Amino acid sequence: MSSDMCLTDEARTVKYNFPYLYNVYGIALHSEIPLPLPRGGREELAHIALRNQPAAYFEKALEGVALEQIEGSWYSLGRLSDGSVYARWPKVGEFLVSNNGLQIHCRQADVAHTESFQVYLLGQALSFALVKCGFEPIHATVIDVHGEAVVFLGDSGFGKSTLAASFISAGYSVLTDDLLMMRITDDGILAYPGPARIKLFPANAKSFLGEAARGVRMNPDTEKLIIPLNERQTCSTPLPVAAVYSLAAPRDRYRKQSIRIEPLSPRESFMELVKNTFNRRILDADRLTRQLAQTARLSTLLSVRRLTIPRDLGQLPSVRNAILTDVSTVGAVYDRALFEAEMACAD
Amino acid sequence: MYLSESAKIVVSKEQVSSRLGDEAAILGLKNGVYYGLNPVGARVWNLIQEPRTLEELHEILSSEYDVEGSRLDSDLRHLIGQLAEERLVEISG
Repeated sequence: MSSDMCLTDEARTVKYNFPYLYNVYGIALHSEIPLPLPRGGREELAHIALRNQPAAYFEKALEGVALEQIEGSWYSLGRLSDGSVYARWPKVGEFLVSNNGLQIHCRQADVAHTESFQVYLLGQALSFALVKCGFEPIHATVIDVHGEAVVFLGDSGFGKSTLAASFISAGYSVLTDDLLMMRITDDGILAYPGPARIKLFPANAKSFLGEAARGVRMNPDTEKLIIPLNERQTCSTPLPVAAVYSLAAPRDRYRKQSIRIEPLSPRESFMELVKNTFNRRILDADRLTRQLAQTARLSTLLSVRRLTIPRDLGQLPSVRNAILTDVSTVGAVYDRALFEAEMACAD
Repeated sequence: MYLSESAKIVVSKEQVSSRLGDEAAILGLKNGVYYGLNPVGARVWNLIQEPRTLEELHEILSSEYDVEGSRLDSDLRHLIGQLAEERLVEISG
């Protein structure tokens, strides 16, 4: 969310000698392992190095470190004395993120599908690095509507990806599914592209992407699939954010109900954005203070809207139309005058 | 909680806050919890950035809002009580 938040000066002095250089979420990712990402590393927000390590490396690093297991979460976390963070997803992989977020050491579990490992690497594990670099990634799915980013917020299971798949079926493309990086610029708020894939349950994948949609399971405990998207189904350039919709929880939705889009106040917008901030494991005062400042600024620039939709896949074309109509009144969603006033204050 | 008219109320050091239009968000640094304030709550929060007594707050707010004195007193005590419970304000005297 800031062009100069990361330690780019330090990054520039590091001699990266890695076989692969990718660009994802606006980050130049220098990698020892091949990844399904666009090549090249346009220097937008930060450089992060990805190193492959053997099991012995992690065993040694974890000597004397107690692992935390939070109820309701299936991964273990270790906090090392130098500020590094270790995270392990059983049967998927393990990761060690350096204290400044500029390096991720990783190891894929022997039994893991490579696609599954990559989802956790480029989602949860990378979120630790991004937060340590000073960014506040958001849990969101974003689609490209006529060259502008339309953002869907909501917890897992709220229907973000299903809604995005419905837009794909209507010819639109996905900018990112799961992790969103945004940056405030002179030209507005930019949203950055993520990996070219979407996570869907098999029935939804079949409904919206057709019989040909194939993928591997995210992890052994879910039916959710990782579906690769083709060039036509994805957008690979940063887009200005036009609108943000926070999906109502499934418990607040019914099969037969009208589609509701309600503008939220800056305070309500703030709460929706902060609720969907990625990574709730790093909670030191510095991070929280930064999170408050960055999210407050975003919430005064972007009016978030609450989107309540029927629990009926057959209604999604109507939901799409309602969103497209609402986005077309973008002046009411994105306050250009306020943005310019904010930028003038920042100067 | 009992709050005397002369007690000084000021925001705690264990929080950070941000204005959001005419509303506000507060982050408790001890517990990592976010709190929201509506426009009137945000006005009170703004006033107690420096120590104020209940009497002073009452006087300022009654000149700004069309509200009965007894209602204002009760709402003010309720809000300060909630803020104190969450350790977002310090009360002395």
